[in-house]
This record gives sequence, C-alpha cells and structure tokens, in this order.
Amino acid sequence: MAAPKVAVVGAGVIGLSTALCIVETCPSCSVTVLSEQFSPNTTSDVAAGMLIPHTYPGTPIHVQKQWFKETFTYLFAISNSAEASEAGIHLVSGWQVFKNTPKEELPFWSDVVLGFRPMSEAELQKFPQHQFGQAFTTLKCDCPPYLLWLEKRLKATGVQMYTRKVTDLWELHSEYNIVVNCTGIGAHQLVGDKKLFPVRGQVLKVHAPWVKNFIRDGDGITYIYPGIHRVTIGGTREKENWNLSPDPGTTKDIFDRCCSLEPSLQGAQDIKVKVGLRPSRQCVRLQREVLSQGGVKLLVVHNYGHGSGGFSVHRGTAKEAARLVRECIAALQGASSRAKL
Amino acid sequence: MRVAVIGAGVIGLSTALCIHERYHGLVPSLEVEVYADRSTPHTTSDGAAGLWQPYLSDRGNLQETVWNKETFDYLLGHLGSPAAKEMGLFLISGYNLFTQPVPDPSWKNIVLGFRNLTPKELELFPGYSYGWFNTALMLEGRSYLPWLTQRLMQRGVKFFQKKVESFQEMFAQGVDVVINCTGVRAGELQPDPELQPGRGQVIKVLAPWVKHFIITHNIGSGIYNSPYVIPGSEFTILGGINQHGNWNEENNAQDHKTIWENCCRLLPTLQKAKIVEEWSGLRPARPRVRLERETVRHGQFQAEVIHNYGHGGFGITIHWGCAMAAARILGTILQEQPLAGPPQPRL
Repeated sequence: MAAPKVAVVGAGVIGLSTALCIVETCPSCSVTVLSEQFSPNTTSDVAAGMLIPHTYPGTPIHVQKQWFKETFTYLFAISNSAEASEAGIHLVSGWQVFKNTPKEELPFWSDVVLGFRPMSEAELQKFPQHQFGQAFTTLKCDCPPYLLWLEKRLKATGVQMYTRKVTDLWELHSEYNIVVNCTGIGAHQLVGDKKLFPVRGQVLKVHAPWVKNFIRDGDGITYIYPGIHRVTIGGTREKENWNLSPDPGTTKDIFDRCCSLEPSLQGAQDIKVKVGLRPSRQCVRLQREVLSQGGVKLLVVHNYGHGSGGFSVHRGTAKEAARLVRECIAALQGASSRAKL
Repeated sequence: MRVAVIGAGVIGLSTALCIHERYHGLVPSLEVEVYADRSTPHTTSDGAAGLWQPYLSDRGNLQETVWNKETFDYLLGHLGSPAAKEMGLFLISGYNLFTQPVPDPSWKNIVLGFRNLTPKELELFPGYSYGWFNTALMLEGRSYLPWLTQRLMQRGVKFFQKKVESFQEMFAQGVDVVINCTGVRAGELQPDPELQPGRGQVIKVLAPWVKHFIITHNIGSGIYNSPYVIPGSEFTILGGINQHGNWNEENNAQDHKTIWENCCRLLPTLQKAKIVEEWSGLRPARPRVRLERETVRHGQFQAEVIHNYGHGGFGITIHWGCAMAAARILGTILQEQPLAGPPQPRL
C-alpha cells in the first residue's frame, strides 16, 4: 500500500510526543497533527510539567514505572544538552512534605528520580506543620517551550499541523488510514468515554525568581514548582468540575496555602491565574479500535486519560501508542495483500 | 563614645549593624559612623555571587568554622521573614564536584541535607567521579548591602563617603574606636604581608533554567580556580578564577575565555545563555581572618582599633559570626571605660 496516512488528533504533550514517536519509528508514514487548540492554549500549558508520577489504580505498577523511566531517561538526556533551554527542560530539586507519615514511604518511582532520600530533621524544621518528607531531584518540562520544541521537531520532519475541531473520528476516514486519538479531556465528547472525567485544577503562575526549589505537599493539592521564568503554584483537584474560568476565592486560597509553605511568596509579582481540566481515568486508555461503516474501516489508536500524570509518562505512552500504530499498519498491509489475491 | 567603621562592604555594614543593635540601648552616648570610599554596588561584596559556602578545609582555624555556622543559622532564621526577599536571601541546592574522593567538609552538618552524589547524578558531569549535594543559602550582595544600609540609616548611623588615609586621622577627629573592615586594601592603613588579593573574574549571564549551583574543585589548582556556576535571583554567575597576588581589577580576555569554555563544558546548556556583564574583584585573601583588637598610640593617648578583615572568598559566608565577635570585642572595650562620661583621657 502507499505510505500510510496517520492523523494524530490533539496537540498537547500527549499528541505531539505521540506524533514524534510515530515519525521516529514509522519512517514510511505520513503524519498530520489536527487539533482544536495548540500551545499556549492546551491543558499541558496550564500544568507545571513536573516529573512526579500519578498512580493509576487500573494499571500494573511495573508498567507505570516503565513509562516513567522511559520518559525520565529521554528528558534527562535533553536536559543536559545545548537544547535544554529551548526545549524548556531543566532539573529541579526540592521536597515533598507530609503532615502525617504516609503508609508508603518509598513510592514506586523513588529510584528513577535522582538522589531520593527522607528529609533530615533540620530540613523538616522549615515545615513546622509537616512531620515527614522526601527530598529528591527531578525534571520539569516548561510549557509553552516544550510543546513549541516538539512542534519544531515535527515540522522539521515534514509533519503538517492544522487547527481543526474534529467532532467525530469517522469524519477522518476518507483522508486517513489511521487516527491516533490524543484528545485528552476532549475524548469525553469525541468518543463518548464516560469513564473519563475532568479533575479541575486552578494554578497561579507568578514571578518569584528567588524560588529555586520545589515544595509539594504529599496531599498533591498544594505545591510550588519553579519554572524557567515563572513559578507555578497551586492548586485544586475538583472532580467533575468542567469550569474553565478562574475563581477569585480559589486564587486567594491557593496563595495563602503556598505562602504558608514558602513565606517568601508574599513578594511574588505579576500573578497570572490559569485553569486546566486533568483528563482523569482509572487507567490511560492505550488501545486499538476498529471503526467501520458500510464495509469501510478506520483504524484508531487511543492514547488519552493521563489525568495528573501526563508529563510524567508521556514518552512511555507515546512509544506504546506508536507500537500500536505499527500493529495497525501491519494489519492494513495484511488486508491489502489479501485484497490483491 | 564614637565608633567609626571603615569599609562598607558586607563586613563593615554588618559589623556596624551588629554593634548598633547590641549597644545602642545600653550606651546612650554611642555614635556609630561608617566611612568608605566605595559603597554598594561598587564593593567586592557586590560582585560576589553570594553563595554561603566555606572553603573545603578550615585551614586549622576552628574559630572560623564557628563563625560560619553562626552566620548560616542567623540567615536561616531570617528565611521565613518578610525581609528575606529584600535582603536577597533564599535557599538554593546544588553540587560540589571532584575528580577523586575527598573527606567531608567541616560544614557538612551546617548546611541542609548534605550527602554524596549517586552514580546517576555523576553522569551529568563527565570528568568528575565524586561529589556532594546539599542545600545552602544565597545572600546576594546587591540586595543585602542596600538592606543593611537602610537598616543603619533608619537607626541614625551616619555615612561618610571618603577615603580614610590613616587610623590617626580618625582619632584626631575624636573617634574613640575604629573598626577596620577595609578588606583587600587594609594594607594601606597598616602593612600586612599576610593579606594578598585573590583576583577573581566572573561572567554574568541570563540562564534562568539553571536552578542549582555547581562548584567544581581541582585540588591542584586551588579554591575557585576551577569552573563554577551559581544562579542568582536574576542572573547566573559563571566563574573559576582566583589569582593570588594579582591586583588588576580590569577584566581580562584570556580569563573570560577560560571561564566561558570551562563553564560551557561543565554545563552545555549555558551555550545558549546571554552574556550580560563581566566583573573582576579582589578577594581579601589571608591565611586566617584578622579579627582582633589593637591598642594604638595616639599622641599621648591610647585608642582602639578592632580589625575585621581578610575574609577571602568567604566573606558573606562568615560575616555575621565575625560581626558578633567584633561586637564582643567592643563590649570589652566599653567595659573598660570609666562609668561617667567619655573615655580615656581627653584634654
């Protein structure tokens, strides 16, 4: 058959990294990215992009660890290269602190990040309300830079990108052989996935360049993540809340909580408020599907539902999605040789 | 009782503040004045990156280790206060790198979270096989010195912009105690062969993605003669020059090349950093800090000098411990005065 035509729908971190993996592993494919939104207007742009994994209840831990490890290794290499600043990737050290000692003192990813160890008594004194903590060094993907860097690499390989709202995957069947669905929270409407639900997050992006370390409360709701130009402080985890408008009461609450962890934030300037809907699910939907109508088939690979763990596992799930695309291509080639008989 | 501090770098200003805080209420007649020909942003302290970190070895000066600790604890206590931002004070983590294993430093329990580097971390730094990670403090001179100046002015301390030519000049004016915080140029007031410049040069760049300090060590070439990268609140400082005996305060093109090439090799991401400024300064190097009292003859009278200079490349690191020690010496001097009126003897 002629070069398989692949459409990747969605241009957040998942869509762009998946498109890149497909290009890397299927040189014969023609890949196009279609998305209603591009950076700086994706959910990924709101996120801090910290590599601290979320645990998916529905996926075996060893699989999640593999995804995280692949992602960490990939970004680690970029962080130490001349491209790091353009790609927005940098190392950051800090602390995860707990008001009460957690049941699991060693998370599954503790040997993937760098220098993981329990905090010392002296370090904990800085957090009088917290009894236990972990210190480590991890990576941060700043957006928009990371997404723009992915877009640049895609364009360099000839991938076309179009702003387009896809309302039904089937509408792509005449132009493409394979569709990769990386629509994040958009999949709720696009494919009617009722297992996918938003977890609303509000964050503040502030100018506080003296903050060099991250601080995260183990409850995952209060955090301070220093990026290249701004510090992302947050947040909220509001299940089933679809509201994309910033809430002023929440802004004040976030600011107060973060100042109590890091008092110097009182001096933060130029506060920008953002809202994103984490595309949450028991497990990431990473699977193939065949759509058919009237004898015509459209092969689909789903890669969505990363919730609050998108950045942490993006490269790992992108590689898996690319593998599923290769399976689709093999299936198409099989079908096409049978058709020739 | 007139006390004149000579020098308005981190040592002079912090000593003046410590003295005023401690004795102003106790000694009603106390007047503190600061004399300096150079003040912020033109002092040696202004060019320093401001990282709290002593030398690797205490050189046998245990007193200095105590002063370093006192400074760290004092600053740590101020971290959570609203003044921290204005002071230019914040926490920072980072790496010390070596080409071979070395003993732990005297300050390992002073800083936070001191540990050895893991093999994976060392992968970041080809050529280095051993290292430390810890969290320390930054105290940026460009913010701290103005903050100290403001605190002093609020307390009524007077500043005089002038070059003091001799201790006698001060005593002739009626000053009772001189506190000599003249740093690298102390030899101009009183010869001191042990005091030598340790010339440093730094390149200031914009590299806000760098969040850690990285200090490399080459045991053969001596402290600060090996590349280092220290991110500040606005700029990142690249350095690695320490030329003993070189008084030249002009930037040197060869040194620039050395710093730039070595730092970019250490941290390839720096290749994209924009260079903003270059600066040279003279560390007031001495085998040990000179912090002591000297009674000098002033005509028929006696007057007191408290020396507080020679802090090398660790002035910011040790400043508050020294300021308190100098204040204690002044306390002794004050106790020796007769109860009524001004001190010995005035015709």
